[in-house]
Amino acid sequence: MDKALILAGMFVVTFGIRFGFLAAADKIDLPEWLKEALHFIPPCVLTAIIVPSILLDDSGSLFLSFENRFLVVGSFCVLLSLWKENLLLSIAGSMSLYMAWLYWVPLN
Amino acid sequence: MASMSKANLRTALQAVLATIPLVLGAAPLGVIFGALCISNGYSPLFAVLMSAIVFAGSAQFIVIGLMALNTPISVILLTTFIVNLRHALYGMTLVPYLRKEPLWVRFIIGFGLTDESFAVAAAKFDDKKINLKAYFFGSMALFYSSWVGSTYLGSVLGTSFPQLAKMKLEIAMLVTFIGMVVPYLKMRSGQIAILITAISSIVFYPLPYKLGLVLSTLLGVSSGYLYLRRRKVIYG
Repeated sequence: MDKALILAGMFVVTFGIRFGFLAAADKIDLPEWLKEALHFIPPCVLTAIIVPSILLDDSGSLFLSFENRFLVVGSFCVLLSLWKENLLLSIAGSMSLYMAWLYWVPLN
Repeated sequence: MASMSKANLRTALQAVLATIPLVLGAAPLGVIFGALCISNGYSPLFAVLMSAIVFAGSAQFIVIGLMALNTPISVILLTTFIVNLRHALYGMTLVPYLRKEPLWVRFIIGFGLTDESFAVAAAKFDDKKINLKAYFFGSMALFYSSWVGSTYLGSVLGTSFPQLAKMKLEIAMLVTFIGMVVPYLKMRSGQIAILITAISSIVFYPLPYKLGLVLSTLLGVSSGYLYLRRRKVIYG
């Protein structure tokens, strides 16, 4: 297999997907309805990344338990964020909980 | 950079700081990726070039797995396409905000358009006081150098880092993303979009190549938008 060809091909595909719309950004005018709908992209794509990582175990089945550290720490982060809308506080608070847990009870 | 004013530099620095928690989540993965390349028989140069040229975490891991199985290049590229499809949504979202920027700026932002930098910048899209270009440049500069640097580190150290993998530090990325999503829960339309995305991301999780991610995002976006529209029809 030609490694250089794979690298070049992956670059073309990945960059093409990311740059495609931006390349034409000065020429295309998205319809208003689409612009309005696109406002939902950031929260939705993040939710789609977060939820399976937190609710599912490595085999892909639901892992609803206090043993599920991602679920516990993630829920704590939701509460922190609802309480004070301060991103840094939410991150620092949740990571302190996670790291303390890891320190006292290492993952096996 | 000559075209960067003082205000823009401050904006870029602000973006660098906002990106740090995401680096904490991604750098261990970069180290693991570099080490994985070595244990699969590739050189540190190959590992670093892949991170530097392709710059797409999940696709890189999947392709190294496919290469180990002697998968034909057509399948490798098709897989790369599908796994990275969500980035087309990011590009489309940015069209109204970057339309006045010169091509070279859009070129650089397109190259560095990862989940992480898109997420960090999303909070600033409608902030008129922020120069979005400078913000993206700051976030991408840190994220790119840490991704390439951590890949290099992993490929030189070359062990598979079971202890590092075991710490599961990707939680840093997840809590950062959670903190970014929660403010959208203040609006009913945001609640609906997020709820529908959450449910469908579990339902469609078994789909291969992150297709579940794209599908559940599209379902969430449409339901949030339809709710907004319906309300406008009713209340004028």
